[in-house]
Amino acid sequence: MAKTPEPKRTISLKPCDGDVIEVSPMIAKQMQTIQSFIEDDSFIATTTIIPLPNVTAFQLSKIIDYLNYHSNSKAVADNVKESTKKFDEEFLKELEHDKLKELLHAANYLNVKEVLDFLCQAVADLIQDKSVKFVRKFFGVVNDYSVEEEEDIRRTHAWAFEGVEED
Amino acid sequence: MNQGSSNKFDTLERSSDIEDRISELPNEIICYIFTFLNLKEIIKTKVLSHEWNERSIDMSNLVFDPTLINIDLVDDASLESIPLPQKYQFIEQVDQLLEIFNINQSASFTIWFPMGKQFTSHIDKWVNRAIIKECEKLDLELKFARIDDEPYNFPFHILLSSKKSHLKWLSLCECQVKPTREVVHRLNLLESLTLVYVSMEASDLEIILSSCLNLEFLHLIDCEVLTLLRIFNQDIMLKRLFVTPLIFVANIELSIPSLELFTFSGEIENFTISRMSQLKTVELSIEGTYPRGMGQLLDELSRNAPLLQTLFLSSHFDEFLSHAHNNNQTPKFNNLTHLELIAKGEYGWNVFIGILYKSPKLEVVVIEGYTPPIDDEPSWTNQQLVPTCISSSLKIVRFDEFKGQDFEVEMIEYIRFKRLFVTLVVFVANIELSIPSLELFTFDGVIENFTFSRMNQLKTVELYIEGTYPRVLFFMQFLSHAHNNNETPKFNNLTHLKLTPKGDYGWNVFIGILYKSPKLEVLVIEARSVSTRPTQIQHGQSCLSKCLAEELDRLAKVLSQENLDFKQTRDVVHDLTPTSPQQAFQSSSP
Repeated sequence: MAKTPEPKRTISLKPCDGDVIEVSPMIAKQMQTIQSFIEDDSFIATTTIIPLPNVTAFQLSKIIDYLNYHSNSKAVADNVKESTKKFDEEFLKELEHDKLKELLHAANYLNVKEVLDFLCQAVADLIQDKSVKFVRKFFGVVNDYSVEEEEDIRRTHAWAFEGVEED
Repeated sequence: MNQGSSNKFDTLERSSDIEDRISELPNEIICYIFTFLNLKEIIKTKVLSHEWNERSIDMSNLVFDPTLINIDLVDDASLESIPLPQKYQFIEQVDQLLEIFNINQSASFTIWFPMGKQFTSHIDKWVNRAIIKECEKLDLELKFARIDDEPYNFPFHILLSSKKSHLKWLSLCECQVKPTREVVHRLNLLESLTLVYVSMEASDLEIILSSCLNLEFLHLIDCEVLTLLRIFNQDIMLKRLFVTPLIFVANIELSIPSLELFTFSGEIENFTISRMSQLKTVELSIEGTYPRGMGQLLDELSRNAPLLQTLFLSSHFDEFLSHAHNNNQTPKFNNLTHLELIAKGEYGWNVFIGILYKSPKLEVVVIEGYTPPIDDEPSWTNQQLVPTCISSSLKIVRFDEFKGQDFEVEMIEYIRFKRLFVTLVVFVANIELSIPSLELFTFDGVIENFTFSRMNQLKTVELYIEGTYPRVLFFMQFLSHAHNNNETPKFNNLTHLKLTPKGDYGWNVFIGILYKSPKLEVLVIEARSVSTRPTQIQHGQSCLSKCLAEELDRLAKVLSQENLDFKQTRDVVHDLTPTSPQQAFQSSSP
């Protein structure tokens, strides 16, 4: 692939709770935070290990998984949409409980737009057209209103609740 | 946290052990999630908890439309007749939401609601807000406001009293624009201006253009000013100009050296341009007839827009283009490489030929809906001089609505272009082609009969046949011969086959083609209907049979069967079909 003989062509990333993970420059480039490291003059690809104190090994590998899949699937012509959709669904299914939230944190920290967009869209889909009760339950938001307070808020923004079925 | 212990909603959350998975996200992420939601959903989150109610919501894209009062946007009829109380309800809603949201810098601000002059004070207030908040995009989409009211007057006076405008993009629909020179320069950052059904005078437009020197994009739709559009300004930066007039007569005079693209759609009486030294693309859809004649229009364009590369021309050609063939007396399109022509009227063919003569560097031609040449005109093939572009540069010719008439086929044969795209829109009974130079043939449509002959160079054929190819008899014959290798012609050089069969006998046809194609290397089958079969096979060499003489005139007949409705041949073919793919391959292996 590469014509110039370079000793090492991957970028080393060190998550807070695991071993160093090597990623290709193509993938690293999509993480703006890493990219700014690489562009820094003091960065030497052969020796520098980029520490990521805010990102766990699980989160990092999930993000790399996502980027790998989506950058590869672009090259293949047929049936991309279906398999991509399936991959995305599986990807979300594995993010139980607070892992979605933490992955959002990580994606935000690494500033990787593709993953951030995907996760934010996923959260938005979970909120869209759902009742307040469902959203509270799904995301574990504790209702700290009194009945009167909640009624008051609903009255203030009555238009937003027209046509929404409470379940 | 427990103050609402008596709350009936509370028990539900308490019983689940789930930790709050969303509230602790940084506000910037929450606001980013909000960009994927409409205003209503965003407001609904306020009821989740105190924290969500007090959250500061930073918006970069504000759209206030009739959904705020639960009116469906798709339904134009209900937008036309929104009663007054509902309009006030909308205003109240917008005001309330503007209290809740923070507007980010460089945001986009859209009001999409039928409101006229009587609501001036409210709209003024919102415009003022957008400018104070340094919005870059402002869209006042007051469509249907004129049904029961005078148009709203865009508040230029606000620009004087308010902060400096950061607007780069302004779009006004059904407003009134009365600019004065003292004020308009406050909009000098403006790059794009769209005016839809706006009442203004020609002089008003002149004031805007002479003050907004950064303006690159001007879109004028249904504006009354366009009975006369004169832009003579050497200082402006305008690059793209779109004009669709409301009134049927339009007199357009342009002299804009910076202009790169001009689009016009409507009736026009006079079109004059000068010094358009950067103009590269012109799209003209002229309704009715251009009174000064097509020849005059083409000369005007070729003389004053020397860099013109792309020309889309749709018109009614009722006038004979007399000097079309006098090559040396009329100006040429010396840089025109792409021509798309939608010709109506008796002289469409004549004008098309005329443009070919005027355009020595033409590479791509798309023709749609032309008419046969008139009798007193010399036939295409009788022309003494072949247009330069045909013998040198022309690469792609594409016919939309190809009717397979004599003169069309005549031209196809005559032109020695290498690639021919025929995209068919109407039903065609018969296509007969004999073009030795043709390398690629694409067809999309309904067909009764294909006949090819002498297609010596044809390397790629793409056929998308809608419905059934009616010559089923041949097909039956073909299939019954499928295993009798020596009796039917072969694809002796076919290396790449992609098949999308519909109908019951897709598999059968596929096997048949395998037998016919000794050198096949790549095979892709998209076959949802052939459910029990493998859907994708890649072979290195599927040499299923020995070699036979090739007859290219059979190519169309064979390939065109991919979309056959195979049901018609079920009884005949059934016995011939291998019961499994394995058998098919086994029976053919040497």
